[in-house]
Amino acid sequence: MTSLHVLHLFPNELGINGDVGNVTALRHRAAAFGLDVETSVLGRGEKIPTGVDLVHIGSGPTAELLLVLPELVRHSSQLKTLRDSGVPFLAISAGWFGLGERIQFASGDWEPGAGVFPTETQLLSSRVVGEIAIDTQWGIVTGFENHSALVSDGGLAHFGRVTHGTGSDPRAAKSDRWEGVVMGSSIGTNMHGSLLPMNPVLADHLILSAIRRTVPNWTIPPTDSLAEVDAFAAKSRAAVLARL
Amino acid sequence: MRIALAVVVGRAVRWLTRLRGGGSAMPGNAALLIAPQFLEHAFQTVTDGIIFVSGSNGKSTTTNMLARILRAHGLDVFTNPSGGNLPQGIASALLSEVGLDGAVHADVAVLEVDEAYSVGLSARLAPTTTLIVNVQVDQLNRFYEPARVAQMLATLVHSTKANVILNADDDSLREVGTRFASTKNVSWFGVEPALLASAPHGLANVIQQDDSKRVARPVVGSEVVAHSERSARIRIGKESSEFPLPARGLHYAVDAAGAIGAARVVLGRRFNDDSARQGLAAMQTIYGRGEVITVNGEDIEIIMMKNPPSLQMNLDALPGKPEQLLVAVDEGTPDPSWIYGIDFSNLGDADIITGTKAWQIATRWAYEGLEVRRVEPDPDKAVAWFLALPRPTSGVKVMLVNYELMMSIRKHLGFLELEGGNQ
Repeated sequence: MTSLHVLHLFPNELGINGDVGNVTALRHRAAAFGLDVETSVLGRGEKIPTGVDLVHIGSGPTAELLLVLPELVRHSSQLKTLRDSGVPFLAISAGWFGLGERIQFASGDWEPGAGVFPTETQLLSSRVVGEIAIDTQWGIVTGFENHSALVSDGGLAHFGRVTHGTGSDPRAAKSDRWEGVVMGSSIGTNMHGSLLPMNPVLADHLILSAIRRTVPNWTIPPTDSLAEVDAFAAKSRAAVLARL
Repeated sequence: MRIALAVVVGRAVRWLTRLRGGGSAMPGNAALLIAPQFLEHAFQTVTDGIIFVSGSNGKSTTTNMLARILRAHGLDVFTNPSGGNLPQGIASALLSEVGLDGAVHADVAVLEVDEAYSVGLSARLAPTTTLIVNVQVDQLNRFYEPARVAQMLATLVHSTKANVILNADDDSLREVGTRFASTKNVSWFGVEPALLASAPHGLANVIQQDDSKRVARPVVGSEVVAHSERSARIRIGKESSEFPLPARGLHYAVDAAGAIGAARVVLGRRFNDDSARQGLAAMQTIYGRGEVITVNGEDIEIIMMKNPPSLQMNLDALPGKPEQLLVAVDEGTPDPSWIYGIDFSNLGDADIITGTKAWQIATRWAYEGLEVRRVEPDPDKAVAWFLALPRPTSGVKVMLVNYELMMSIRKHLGFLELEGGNQ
């Protein structure tokens, strides 16, 4: 049986926004695709397990980001090795900032990140809060943004063009607003919702990319068991769009 | 003159909004617009001081408990109704109590205050005593990070003249209390460590993840040592005895320990267990906090899903999975992503899910592998459909609702009074 090993980085510290829903969606869908799913959690002071196929990190408060930052830096070369071997990362807000090149905190000091994404983040005093919709290569993606960051894209392709909301560069002109980055099969973004439950096409993209590393011709098998949850998710997105 | 005008106009607005079954803020807003010093003026005449009650979850219950305990000791207490914890809400509550002179005649004022507004209100009213229940993950769209809430509450403590009563099982409040240990009279309430360890999710307070910053547990003056369906055994000093609770759950027990702790500080030697028991026994349940309402002869338990910790504590206190369940969430919960972090062990299939966020909530249910029988975004239609379902064998229908929809559903069912208007 083909297996999927999901590694969830620091869920205790970066977990107040319900981003664990992304892991819930990955688990639920991978199981529906007949995959043998394993989830590992990485806590501070622990070692990264072997055989990881997909990495998730969620968002959280600044104090907790500061707490895990040395840990992310400590794991930097191992995380980069995973990245270079094609393991997809889904990184949300603070977790994404921590996986970037560096972060500027309110004090003005820059702190290094893990360098998995070539992005840089400046934490601002102003805050962006609200529902957001973006236009991506996977279609319209909806969610909720709640952050005080200005992210530079590091030359990466944008995850999507903002159609409603603010996005990763709050200073950009309204017509130039963008959200998140795409690096290979990986995604860094500020979007909650949670992102994958509300946008299952992204979950399936991550699962497909993860499995194809080891089984190159693997495809997502047809299944009826996700029809209801996919219909609910589609109506969730439609409801967000109707409100915006 | 301005004060008298504020009272007259405020009361007129109150009369009009009551006719409509409207919100509690408008009359107070009118009074504060006419007399910006309305609150400062009103509380000048309170003889034994002002008590503030704040924190993330349990403010309303604890305020109500403390007010009733003090009344049972013979004190004349002014308090604001649950939900009216902003300046305008307090002003609205004053309108029914004060004379044309705008002064409240009571021994003591027990005021529930919103965490953010507590900063300004404590600077204006200088409370003698402050009771803080907890710091939990709440309204991140508004508060951003729990650390900001802890900072607001530290400012409240700073502005408190004499006494501070804090939850010893809350990492954030331990830090705050230790900071003010030499300048304020700080005392503590909590839950006996072994009992707390046996609770599925503890008290769901924010945990200090940085071990080097975690403060040791202080000596606790009033502590829950056991609790059952509707009562708690609370140790006060060295003696422990049984006290009644308004609803089941460890969170209500710890609220009672907090109220008792504050009452002991305020009353000193006048405090006695029997009066405290009497006060707690007189409590009615508060909206959505273990409350059961009767509609057409059917019992409906309303459980509020305000934020992750309060929902988790309410679910942990359930005797079993609800047999019939309506879930209602609207824009009062701008980002319901947090429901993915909730332990669903005590939840089963949903009969109907409603509100503008219905589809997002239904998605959560489906990812848990639970059945959603119907999704109907219109709350009025959903409630009517739910009420028409055959009576469950347990006899109780359960509604899991966010605050805003709880208020509108209550109104729809014919419960027109303002929240806490029956206090």
